[in-house]
Parts: sequence; C-alpha cells; structure tokens
Amino acid sequence: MTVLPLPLPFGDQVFWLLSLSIVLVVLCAAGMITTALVLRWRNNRTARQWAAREAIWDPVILDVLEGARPPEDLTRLVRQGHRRHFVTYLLRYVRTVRGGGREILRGLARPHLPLVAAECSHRQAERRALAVQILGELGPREYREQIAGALDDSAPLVTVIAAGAIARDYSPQDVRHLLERVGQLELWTVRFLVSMLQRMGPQSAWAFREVLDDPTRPNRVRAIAGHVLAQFNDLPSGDLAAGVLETSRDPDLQVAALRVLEHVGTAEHLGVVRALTRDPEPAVRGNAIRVLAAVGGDAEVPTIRAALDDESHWVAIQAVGALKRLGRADLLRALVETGHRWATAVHEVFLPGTA
Amino acid sequence: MMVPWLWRGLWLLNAVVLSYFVLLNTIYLLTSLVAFKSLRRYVQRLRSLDVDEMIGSGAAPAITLVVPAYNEEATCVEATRALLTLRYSEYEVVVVNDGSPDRTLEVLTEAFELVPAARLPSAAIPTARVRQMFRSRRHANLWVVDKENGGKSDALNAGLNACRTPLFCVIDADSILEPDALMRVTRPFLEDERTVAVGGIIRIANGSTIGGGRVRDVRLPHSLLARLQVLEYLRAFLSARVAWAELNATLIISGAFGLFKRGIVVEAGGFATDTVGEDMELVVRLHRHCRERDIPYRITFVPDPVAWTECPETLGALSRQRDRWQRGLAESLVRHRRMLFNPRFGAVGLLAFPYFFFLEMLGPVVEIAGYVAFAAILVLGMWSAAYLLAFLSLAIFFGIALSAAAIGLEELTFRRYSRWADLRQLLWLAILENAGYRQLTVWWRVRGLISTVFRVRGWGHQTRKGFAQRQPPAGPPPAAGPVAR
Repeated sequence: MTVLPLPLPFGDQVFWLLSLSIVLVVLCAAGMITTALVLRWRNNRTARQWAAREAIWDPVILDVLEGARPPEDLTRLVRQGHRRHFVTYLLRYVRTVRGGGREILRGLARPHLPLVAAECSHRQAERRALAVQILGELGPREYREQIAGALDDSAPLVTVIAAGAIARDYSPQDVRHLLERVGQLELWTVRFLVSMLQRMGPQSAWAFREVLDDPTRPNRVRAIAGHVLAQFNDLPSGDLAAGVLETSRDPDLQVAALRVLEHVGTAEHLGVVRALTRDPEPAVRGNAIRVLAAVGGDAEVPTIRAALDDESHWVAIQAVGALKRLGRADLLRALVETGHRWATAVHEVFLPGTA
Repeated sequence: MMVPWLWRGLWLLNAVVLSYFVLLNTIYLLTSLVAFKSLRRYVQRLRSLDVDEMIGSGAAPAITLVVPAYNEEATCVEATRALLTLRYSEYEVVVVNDGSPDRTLEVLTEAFELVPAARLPSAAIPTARVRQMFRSRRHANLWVVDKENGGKSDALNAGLNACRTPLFCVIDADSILEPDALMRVTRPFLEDERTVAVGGIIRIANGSTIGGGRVRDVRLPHSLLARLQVLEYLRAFLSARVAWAELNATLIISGAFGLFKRGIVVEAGGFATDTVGEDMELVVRLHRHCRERDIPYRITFVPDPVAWTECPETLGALSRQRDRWQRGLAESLVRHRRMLFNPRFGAVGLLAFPYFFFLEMLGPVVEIAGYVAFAAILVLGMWSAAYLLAFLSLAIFFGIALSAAAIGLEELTFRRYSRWADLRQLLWLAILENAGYRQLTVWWRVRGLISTVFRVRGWGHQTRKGFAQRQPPAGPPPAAGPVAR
C-alpha cells in the first residue's frame, strides 16, 4: 500500500476528504474486527450449547433405537426452543439408519416438522432446499404433496432435492411428474440424474419405459430413462431400445439404448447394433462393440476384429475387451506378435502388469 | 526552490498512485462484500445437500489424480499413500516422475511394488520421452509414469496423456488432500454439466500436526513469515477467488489443487510448457478456447475442498516463489492480451482480465513508484506531516479492514483455526503485515516482472522438508536441473 503524502497544493478540501475517508475506513476495520470476534464468540457458544444438548440426547436416542426405551423418553427432553436443533440432530441419524430405526426417527421428528415445512416458502432457494431435504428424509409421506410441489420450484437446487426425496421413497403417483421435471434439470449431469432416479427401483420401470418409447420427449430425458432401465436389467426394455436405435440419430440416446441392449438384448437385436459399429461417433461404435460381445457369439468376431483398426483408441480398447470376453486370446496374441498399433491396448486389457 | 517540472512530475505521480490505491482497495473491499454474500449462500447450499449421498452413489465420475514429482523422494511415498486413501468411489493416481535425479522412482518402486506395465495413452500431447510406465502390485489404481525431465507442465501433459477418465485432478506432490476433498471438488461437475474446471482452496500446513497423510490438528505456523502467508491465503481464497467465481470470472485455479474435464483440456492443447504459470495460463486459455468456439462452459472455485501445502519459511524461498508467481501471471496475461477489454469474453474480458492486468500485474510497479516518490518528497522537504499521517493511517486501516474481512469470512464458514489464540494472532497479523511484509512482497513482484521482461526461466530452487518427518531429504542434495522445484 502506498503511504505517499500529497504535496500541499491539494488544499484543505482534499485534506478534509481524506480525514473523512480515514474515519470511514477505521470504522470499517473496527467493524470487521468486531464481526470476526462476535462470529467466533457466537459460533463457540452455539457449539457449546449444541454439544451440551446432544450429550443429553445421545444416550437416550441409542436406547430408543434399540427399543430399550420408548420414544417419549427422548421427546420429553426436547425443550420448546431446541426443536429446530432436534430436527437437525435427527437428520444426521436418519441418513445412517435403515428399516425400523428410520421409522422411529421419523416418528420422533413428526411433531416438529411443521416448523420446517414453513421454510418451504422461504425467499432463499438454499433455505427452501434444506427444508425439502429435511422433509424428504424425516417426513416423506406426511409431506408428500409439499415435496412433489417443490419439483416445480423455480430454483433447480430445490427441484433436484425434491426429485431425490421422491426417488428415495418411491410413490407411483409422483413418478410421471418427476420425469417431466427431470427434463428441466438441464445443467445437472446425466450421470447424477440416473444415479438419483435408479433409487426408485425396478418397480418404477414402467414409467421409464414410457419415456424411452416416447419420441415427443427430449432426447436427453429419453437417454436418462434408457440408462436407468439398463441399471434395472429391465427385460421388456430390450425391444424398445432396439426401436430407438432404428429411429433416432442422437448419439447420447443411441448410447443409452445400446447400454440397455448390453444388459437385456437378444440375438434379434444384433442387426441394428452391427450397423452402428460404423457410426461416426466413437462412443456409439464402442458401445455397439460391447453389445456384440455381450449378446452375440463367435459370429460377431469378424465385426469386432475389424473394430481393432478403428482410429479411436477408445473403440479399440472396447474391441480388445470384447475379444477377451469372447475368449479369443489367439487373435489378441497375434495382434501383439504382429506389432499392431493397438498392441499396447491388448497388453493393458488382456495381460495387466506386463509391458 | 524546486524546479517546476519536478514539482509537477511528483504531483502527477502522486495522483496516479492515489488513484491506483483507491481503485485497488475499493475493488478489494467490493470483492470481500461479494464473497460475504456468496459464502453465506454457499454454506446454506452445503447444508441442503447430502454430499456423501450425492457423490457416494454411482453419480461420481471417475477421476485421475495427476501428481508431477521432481526430486520428491522425501515426500512422495507419504503423499501417494495419502492419495490412495481418499474417500471417492472410482479414481486412479498417476504419479509422473519428471526425470528426478534423486531416488524418487526407487522409493516409489519399493514402497508400492511397482512393475512395468502397458498403458494405452488417451491423448498425444507432445512431451519429453516417456521411459516406462509402472503399475503398483499393491494398489491396482496406482500408476507411475517415468519420463525424461521436461518441467512441471511437461510432466502434467504426460499424466494427461495417460489419463482416461472424464476428469483429472492436478495436485502437487507435496500437498495433502483432505479425505473428502475429491468428493467436494467434484460436486460442481454434477450440478452443472457445463463445468470444465474447478479449483479448491489451498491452506497452509506449516505448524499443524500431520500424521498418516492427514492434517490432524490445525494450528497456525510457528514462523512469523508463514503466519503472514496464512492471512494472505485467506484473503486470496476466501475473498478474491470466491468473489471472482461469483462473477463467473475465475482466472486462476491453483496448480496445487484443481479438477479439470480431460476432453476440453486435451482439445485446448494441454498445459503450456513455455511458462512458469501453467496453471493460470491453462485457465485463461480454457476461457478463450470455449468463448471463441461458443462452447458453453463454467470455470469456478469452491471453498470447502481443501489441499494443505507447505509454504516457504525463509525470505529467500518466499521471494523466489512470489517472483515465479508474478512471472506466471505476467506471461499468461501478456500471451492472452487480446482478451483485455474484449466484450466477447464477457466478465472475464471486461472485469477480471483488466483487474489482473492493471492492478495485479502492473500494480506493484505503481506502488514501488509511490515509495520512490515518497522518498523524493521527504528528501526535497515537500512533505506535510498531516498528509503523511493521513495517508499512512488510510493505507494501514484499509489493509487491516480487508484482512479482518477475510478472517471474518473464515469465521462465517469453515473456522479451521478454532482457538481464540489463533484468532487473536490472525487479527494481530492483520496490523503487523503493514510494517514491512507488504512492501517486501511488492518488491518481489516487481522483480518477477523484471524477470519476465528479461525472459528468465525456471522455478528457482525450492527445498522440501517433507510432511512426514519434516527433515531434509536423506540423499544427496538435488542437482540443479533445467527445472528445479
């Protein structure tokens, strides 16, 4: 920082301006220091208070979860002003407990959830998201409508948390609504959305099939549905996926359909898959090779062998993996012996630990 | 009687310095305010998300950790071991031995039972010759690339060639990632498909208790010089980077901890090997690459994933580091100068780039000129005690306010320094740093600029004590190679 004194000709006005600035900056510095100190004091006090309360709750909650004491023993220990803290406390447990224990925790939270539900209309998206998160974990059935309503929230964060809550506690009436909203979560990665939606389990496959089969839906949503169905190993999806491959030219959707066929495809689907080994997109070619290895047999070896001459190293690795899967070590060994350009891939995939 | 031209010259210089001072501090103050708002929201956001559930599921994309190592025999085993125990579902560690003349490769081979192995490169960025690839028999996800010396960027490029996951994370061999750092730094990639790069926070480990590759007990460093850097890091990361990220104009992701989308970095040509600021240069180039091709993208900073690092504790080492940082900054900005005030690059071209160009790159020159003029005025007897006092007070209290704001932001969010004594120390340092330390760093930065003009290359010598033992390397002192780190 400069500490340069100005030459005198600046005059008195500048000096007074300077003095005023100093006063402001000194106040600002003092304010910042006070803020830091107050924050520290407040945080420490809160931490102490929370630790003291939790020290009382901890032994009781463990007894309650084990069934050794009734839930009322814990409820009695929660004072009026500590209800919000108690809900946060239960949230930590409910994420790690399964089955009957989870229901006990939800029962303990029930009287206090209206406090949280009121925050669903808070002006800050982050506060609304937290409220939905808590309701989704501790009161998914009682607050089902409110959570489903949050799917239509203007903030994607709230929508995605509501979607996660619905996916965790599958309710058939919300699935369609949920899948409609998924299309609007444009920024969230497909991988994340697939992982979230597959928590609904195979009983929800019917809804995903509807989406995959519906050409009026956005390709991205259909691709997500395809990936979820692949995770479900959903047999009826095989024909739908083959149909998608015949009609769609969208690479992401094609890859999703190929993933379905890799899991549940049959010999009847191989015709359309073979054609895709010449697709301009490496991701489509590579996945097509995987399907041929998974569903086809020796008859597919020439097609797979041809993919070893692919420009893309990724396709070549898929081809090497496919030949390994089909037990064609002889072909792979020949590649190494003839110094094929993807011989390194063979070493890596087939003979790990060698150079 | 003073000659009029000298009087006018000094008057003009004063005006320039004063304008610079006011502008710089106003921007700092504004960034602190933006950071305050942003961090408050960020903390709320973290509360509303269950990061474990989010990343712990199949949603987490696979990551390759690329760790360039040069003469790291003292630290590399401990650091690699720590990397192998991170909480993340699917990741590989690729250590790149950049032709170290010490026993880096040997100690890695012994510790992890490395054996030669084939690995198909996923990209073909030119690098110095790769001698051999190794895979660990103990840890299937550990690979070592042994290559001829080519510098840090070259080593990173070799790691990038070996990487085949959608994301890769760059970390320094002497850094310690917190166990959940990868999970946290990955989050922006899940939340926004356009994300191409994310930086995490770097914190100073000197003085803290370290064991088993983890920072166990966070303390302020014993050395005054290191403590002053703690304060600097808080200002740089919690105020500046948070604010620039909020404005969608992140220009720097530290080379000590950054996560990138592999495809786009390969497409942009990997790390530049002709600059010492390869981390900043890459980020600036990514902005340019994406904007010029109309690729939707996002580059951001998240303050919760932490990499701990060892900071210099001697004036010599610190001066070399700052000299290098300033060279890196200047090289990156000059190379991409066409982004300056270019509306095509949005907030980056119109706000961040001019800020870094005029205030961070050229600012130290103005400051030094101010000190020279100050001396001249004293010598020539032009000074006024009232003005001198006024400016001294203003400068010092501005500095204190900004540092206190950064300490406040730390209190508001992560509170890593939990003792009252630490807080008192930090606040005291906010006052103390005005008495010499700031002036020294300005001088080092000017020297860095001079080095850039005279095209000085290299990293300058650095000594690693090692986190595990905090002792000098057991072997012979590292030979001075083309790139010594």
